[in-house]
Amino acid sequence: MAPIYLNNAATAWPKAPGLAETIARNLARIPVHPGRSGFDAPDPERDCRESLAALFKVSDPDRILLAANATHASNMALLGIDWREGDAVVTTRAEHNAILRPLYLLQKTRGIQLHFVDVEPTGRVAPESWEQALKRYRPRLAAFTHASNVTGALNDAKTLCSLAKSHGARVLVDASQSAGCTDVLPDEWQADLLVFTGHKYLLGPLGTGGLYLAPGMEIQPVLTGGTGVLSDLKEMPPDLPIRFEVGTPNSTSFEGLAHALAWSREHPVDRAHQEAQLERLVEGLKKAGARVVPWDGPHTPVLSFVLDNVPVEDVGEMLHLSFGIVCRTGLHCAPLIHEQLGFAEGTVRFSLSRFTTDEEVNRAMEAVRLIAG
Amino acid sequence: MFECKKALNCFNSKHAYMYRTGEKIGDDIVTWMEAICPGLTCRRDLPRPFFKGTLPDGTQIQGVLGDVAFKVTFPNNDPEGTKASFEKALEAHLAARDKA
Repeated sequence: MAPIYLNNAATAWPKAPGLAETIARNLARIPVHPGRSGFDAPDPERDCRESLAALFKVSDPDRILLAANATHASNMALLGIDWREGDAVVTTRAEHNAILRPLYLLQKTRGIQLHFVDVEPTGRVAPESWEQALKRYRPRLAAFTHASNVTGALNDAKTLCSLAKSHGARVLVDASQSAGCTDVLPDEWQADLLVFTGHKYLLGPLGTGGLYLAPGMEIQPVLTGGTGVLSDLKEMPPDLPIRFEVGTPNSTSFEGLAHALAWSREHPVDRAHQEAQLERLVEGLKKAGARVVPWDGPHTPVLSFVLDNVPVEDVGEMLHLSFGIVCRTGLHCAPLIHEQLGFAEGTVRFSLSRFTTDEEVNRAMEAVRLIAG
Repeated sequence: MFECKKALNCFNSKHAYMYRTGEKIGDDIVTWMEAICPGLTCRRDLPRPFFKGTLPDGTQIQGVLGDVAFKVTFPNNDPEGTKASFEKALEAHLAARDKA
């Protein structure tokens, strides 16, 4: 029986049709440096930046700084701020380690004060709790994930950004789980920093991601080195994006991401169908005896559950080894939300994609029913 | 006789390893496991039966019939000692099997 892939929140599979061919074409072509090779040389990074700027509805593609992944981008953002000892940061218990670990490092090395906002049982941040923390701690930075990678709950990013701005904070939004699933609009939300990854719901290859740096937001480069141009300067060149993009770029993968973005633009997700699949899956899992992490309101195609009579890790192994269903078990790099919601041993996560079929959903439900006994 | 590889998961405290003996897991190795692990259960109602059990020293064995590897998790109180003891028993079983 064909395997079923329900781990798209980790990395999407299958990728956008034509991606492998695009990457192969790139590798077969003589490499050129677009900035030094005339008007017509391929410029995958430029194409990618322009597509991302259109997707995020931002006017300046050069403010999209390409990176290896969202973790790289969040390090560029968080470690690039000129922190002062005692600066406060308000964040949430739904954050991924991509945000948490750089913040823990800053707490240790730069003396920042970290404050966590609890989430609702769905994993969503209540604007009231957010505002309370902003009022109490007056942070220099407020950081939140647009969507929980554990529960799929989407936050009201516009409201959370607006509240943070009204309390004088800069705002960082982690759109790793939402870009490609729903609108991600940093300028409209007034986000100062937005990190994203290319290999999840944007359907691009691994090794792609980036940081949107809003006008007026200043950070310093964390990495320095060769840029291929302006080599006579002792410091990183002042202009964007080159100031932050160090070393030989991953042009091959960014050409792939540009292709995936173009494909997605031409083939929008059938959200009504996906929503129906998710609702059926949630109901099916509940009928099978699973305890699904409360799931309502706007969300990505992600849900988590546990079986009270079978350890989380065993469920994952049975699904994988016995049924050929690939999913993710454990803490999903988001330990705090599990602790807060009472799932210390982690959860089993199913994350669908636009390519998930109804038959695959049926097989997943049946597998969980059999495992639950 | 066998290969052993650390199996990583989300928890720092777990001492889990994958073992591969060069053959698919069949009823013979499960019979041996049942002998050293009397409470071993095997879910034969699943498409590929899943077995799991705990040895008296706290070592946990689990896997799927027909797979090429199984997982062993050693208790936190003596991971090195229990690992050495398990591997000695596995070696003895494989040697006896090869001899037969």
